[in-house]
Amino acid sequence: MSQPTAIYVDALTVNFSGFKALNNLTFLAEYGGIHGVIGPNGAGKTTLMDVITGITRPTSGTVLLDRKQDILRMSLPERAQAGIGRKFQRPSVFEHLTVRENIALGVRLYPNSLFRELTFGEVEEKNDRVESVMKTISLDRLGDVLAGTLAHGQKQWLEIGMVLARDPKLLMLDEPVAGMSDAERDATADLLERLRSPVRCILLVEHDMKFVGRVSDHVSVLHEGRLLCAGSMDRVTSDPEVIRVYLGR
Amino acid sequence: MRRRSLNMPGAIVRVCALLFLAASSAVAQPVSEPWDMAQVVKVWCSGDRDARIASFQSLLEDVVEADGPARQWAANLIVQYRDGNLSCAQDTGYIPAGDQFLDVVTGNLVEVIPDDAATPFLNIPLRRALSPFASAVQLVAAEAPENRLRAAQGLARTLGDVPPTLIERIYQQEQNNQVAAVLEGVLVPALLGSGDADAQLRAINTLAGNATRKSRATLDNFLAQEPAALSGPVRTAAESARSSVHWVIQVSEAMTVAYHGLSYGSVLFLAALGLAIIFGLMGVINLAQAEFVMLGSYATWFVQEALRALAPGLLEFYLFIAIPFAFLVPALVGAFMEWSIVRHLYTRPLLTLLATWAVSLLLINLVRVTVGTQNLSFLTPEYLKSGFTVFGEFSVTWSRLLSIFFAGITLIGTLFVLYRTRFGLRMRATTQHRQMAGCVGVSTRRTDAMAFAFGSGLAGIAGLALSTIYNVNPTMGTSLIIDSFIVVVLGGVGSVLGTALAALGIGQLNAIIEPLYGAVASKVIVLLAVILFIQQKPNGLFPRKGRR
Amino acid sequence: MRQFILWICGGSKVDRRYLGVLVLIALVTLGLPVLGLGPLANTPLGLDGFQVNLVGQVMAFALLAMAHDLVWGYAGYLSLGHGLFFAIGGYLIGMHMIKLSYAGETGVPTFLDYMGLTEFPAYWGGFEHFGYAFIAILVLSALVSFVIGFLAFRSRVVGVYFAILSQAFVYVSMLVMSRSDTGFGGNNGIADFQTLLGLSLDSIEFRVAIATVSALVLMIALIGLRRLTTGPLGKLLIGIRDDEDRLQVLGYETLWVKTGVWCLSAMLAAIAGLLYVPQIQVASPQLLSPIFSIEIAVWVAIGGRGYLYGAIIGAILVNIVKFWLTRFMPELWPFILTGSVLFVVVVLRNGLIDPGPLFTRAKALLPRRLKREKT
Repeated sequence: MSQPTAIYVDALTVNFSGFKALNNLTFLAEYGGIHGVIGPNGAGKTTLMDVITGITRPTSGTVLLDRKQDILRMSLPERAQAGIGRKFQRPSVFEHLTVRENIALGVRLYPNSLFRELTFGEVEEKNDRVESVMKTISLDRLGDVLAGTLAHGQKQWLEIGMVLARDPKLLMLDEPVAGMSDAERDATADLLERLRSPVRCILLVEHDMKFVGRVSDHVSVLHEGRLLCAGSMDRVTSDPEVIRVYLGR
Repeated sequence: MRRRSLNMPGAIVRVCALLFLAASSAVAQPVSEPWDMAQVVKVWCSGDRDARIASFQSLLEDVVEADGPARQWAANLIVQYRDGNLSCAQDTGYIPAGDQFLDVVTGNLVEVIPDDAATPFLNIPLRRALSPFASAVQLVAAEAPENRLRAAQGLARTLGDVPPTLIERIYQQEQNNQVAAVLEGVLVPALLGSGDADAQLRAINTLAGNATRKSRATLDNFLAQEPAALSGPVRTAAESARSSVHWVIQVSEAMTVAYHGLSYGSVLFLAALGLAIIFGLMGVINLAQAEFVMLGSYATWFVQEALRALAPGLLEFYLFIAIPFAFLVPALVGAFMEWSIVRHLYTRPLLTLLATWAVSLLLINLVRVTVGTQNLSFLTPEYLKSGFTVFGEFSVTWSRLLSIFFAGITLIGTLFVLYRTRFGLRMRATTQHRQMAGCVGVSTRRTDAMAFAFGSGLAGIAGLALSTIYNVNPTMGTSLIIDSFIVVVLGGVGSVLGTALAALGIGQLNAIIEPLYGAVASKVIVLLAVILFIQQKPNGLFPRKGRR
Repeated sequence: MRQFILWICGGSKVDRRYLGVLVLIALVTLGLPVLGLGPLANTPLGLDGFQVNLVGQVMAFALLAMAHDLVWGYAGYLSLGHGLFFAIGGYLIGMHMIKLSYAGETGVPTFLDYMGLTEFPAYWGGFEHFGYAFIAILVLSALVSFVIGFLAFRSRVVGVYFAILSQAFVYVSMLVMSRSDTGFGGNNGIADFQTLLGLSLDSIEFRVAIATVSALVLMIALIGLRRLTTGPLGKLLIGIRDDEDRLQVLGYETLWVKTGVWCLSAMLAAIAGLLYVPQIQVASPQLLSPIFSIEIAVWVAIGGRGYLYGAIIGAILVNIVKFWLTRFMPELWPFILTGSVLFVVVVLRNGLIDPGPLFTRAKALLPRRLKREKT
């Protein structure tokens, strides 16, 4: 199934004073699906996301959004405006704001002008959007609760909601089910299904193999900064290299 | 300076003569003299001024060639003559010798001198003309350097008719550096002004070998003359001498600047090191660090006063005896401060900043109220008073060297503690990953407290090193704290080597700028330079490695 | 009525403490002219010139503290160099007053004469107009703060680094302004002011006027900042304080927000300086003393940060105690200051605003039997 490429990474290298977190990595993900990114610890999964969001500068290589926008030239906020959204590995919500306020920060009616956003941004439109996002992430009854008091799993959902508020083209989720109970995992899997869209590409970094298998359409395996194998979950789990390196038999 | 080879028989004769000379009371017995004594006396007893001056000159020439006893004899002769003690009669002269008189020509002692003996009259101009010769002879004859120095200084005031070439010979024989330096000052202008190309060349050579600002100035003046006055080769020689002297002076000036930078950098390093360690370990900036430096200085002073009262014999070594005190007093205060205040705030560095500031204010006022606001006086021990010249105009003073020495010892000591002791290991572990260190059993509480004490103790050592160089009073820390912090920021938090390099760099920058633009401009420039540097490398010279 | 109160509180809740402080300041604004100029003036029930002056100075300090709280309590940046902006306001209004003193005369003040100048240098031009001086104050403080802030925020200088860097800036400025050849009177600063806006500086009318204006400006600024911080900008600042990275990845150019708030704070501080210097009648490098800049932070710390009115309370309290002590027991002041800072920082969590921890700790210290008896 060939959908347009959402993100294309070419020969990406990230060198942390001698240690190559990413080593000449070439990778791509398409619109319309959920793309799992798995690999042992230190394989470079989070680093890949860091490079795409702009937190880490790569030593060399290219990253193209939609195969045409060179995002390495853009600043962090500019990348967000271009449609890249990311949920961090550790739940990063604004503890001193309410759930509603957290999501409201994610909504940008005037993405290019902060001034206008602050002056004219408190409108019905925004509230509607916030409500709809809250419903999607199932926190609609906790709207006025301080984010700092939420449970760990709820914080993860809240963060997804914050990122979702902007309707990103590329939604990157870094370990969304870490520390969740089974019920919560089920709920998250349902959430991801609801987020699937032909104009959105979801990148999912996870360690929970079952979860990955459950939601992903394609899977890429990273190892020592390189792409080891890519394809469907079945294909990848039966690859001997992957088994040797990761699944450990 | 040429040395005479030892001649055994002659030596024995001379030794005997010397002993004999020493035994007799202020009278030199005639010894084998290389000049014609009768002729000399004849001329001296005559009235002819020019003849007498010529005779002084030739006597001087002979004396320069003569040996020790003859020189002494000549010196004594001249002095007696100048003082009017030479009585002339019957082609000979008599000088007093105890109760008797010595016939200078024959060497015989007589009871009385002939009635018609007369003292030749020395009018003032002649006395003035004689004086330089007397100095010159004294210069070759006197055993003690102080006497020769006085004679040389006399010549420096008035050279008179003493030929420069003779002075040159005397200069070459002179062994003592101080005397030789004075003679040089006499010789060089005389030779330069003599008009004789060879003499001028010799003078230029001497100047070339002595690279000081004074010789450069002399050469400049010389070269500033009418072009026609100087012959070609002389001019070329002078110019090349001037450029080589100038080069030496520039190099030595650069070395002086570098040296000053090194010593200021050492002080900065000592003050900043404790800050860097504490900041690296606990993310805490201790604004009271500069006051710990002050406490170290005050502790040193107390040791000095205690020694003065109780063991004055050891007073000279107070700086070394004070080392443990200068370390311990701030260390204990720091440990107390950590226990009572800082440990409650370790997750809130900004509030820690304010709290440590309050402590610094407290310390300043406590000291102010108990000891007073006046500058403390520290005696400079004998062994620190002087220095030595290394190259050209660059001389090293011992007291600055001491601060560099302390910094070096502290650097090595700290690296040793950090990398070779268990305590250091625990400190590094806690710095790198506090929670993990706690999990593997490192008592982070104790490590924090001890590291804080260690850092504070280091500041105390800085205070000790500073005490002889800077003013010591309750507010001495205020300018130091900002400088120290800039060093820490530049060097990379928690890095000992980074702190050392940054301190060195800032010390050098300061030493270069301050003499040119003043202290205030230097502070401004250093601050701007560091800010610009931080733009490029926000985590300093040696940032902590690892992933974010 | 309720709508109006809500509007002043800037949100959907009525904040009693905030309203209380606001009412206090309003009372001061009204009380000063009444008690200072009316029939009660100079009686024990009224205020004399000295007391009016004192109140006016404290009002200026309170404005300065509030400006500081905007940056520390909301954006999370501790500035130990706010004295710089305070001094900009102070020195520039001083220049205006000097020009007024020398209007129509040909001479120059001593501090310029000392440098060998017979005329005012070019950069003094225009300062004879109050409007020009006022705009210059706003522009210069905005410019200086913009440069400092932009450089600092762009290279991600945060926390302790930022604090010390701000100290370094104010320290160096003090050194520069202390030099006689900088042209601002060196160590002694510039004085010799006579009038401002038509009133003689020594007159009781002026003193009352400026003190009242200070209180009024404080009140307006408090309401304005309150509305600003309870609105979307406030949320943004809290976001920056809690997790700036997250905000950036969400698409916010936090650099501009921080710089904007920083510049706003600087301009408010400069206005405070403008109100202060005519009341003490001298503009000297004392304003740039590093210790003074730290004291500003101390006022906010003692009062409580993040509430705006906490900073006001802190500034008022500390300065009243300071004025009183330095008159009667000057030796004691540094120790009281030290003790207060340590107490507030170690025992209380956020100044006097949140005395909670004090009570929980005190309860913990009660002997067990006593506690059981309470239930």
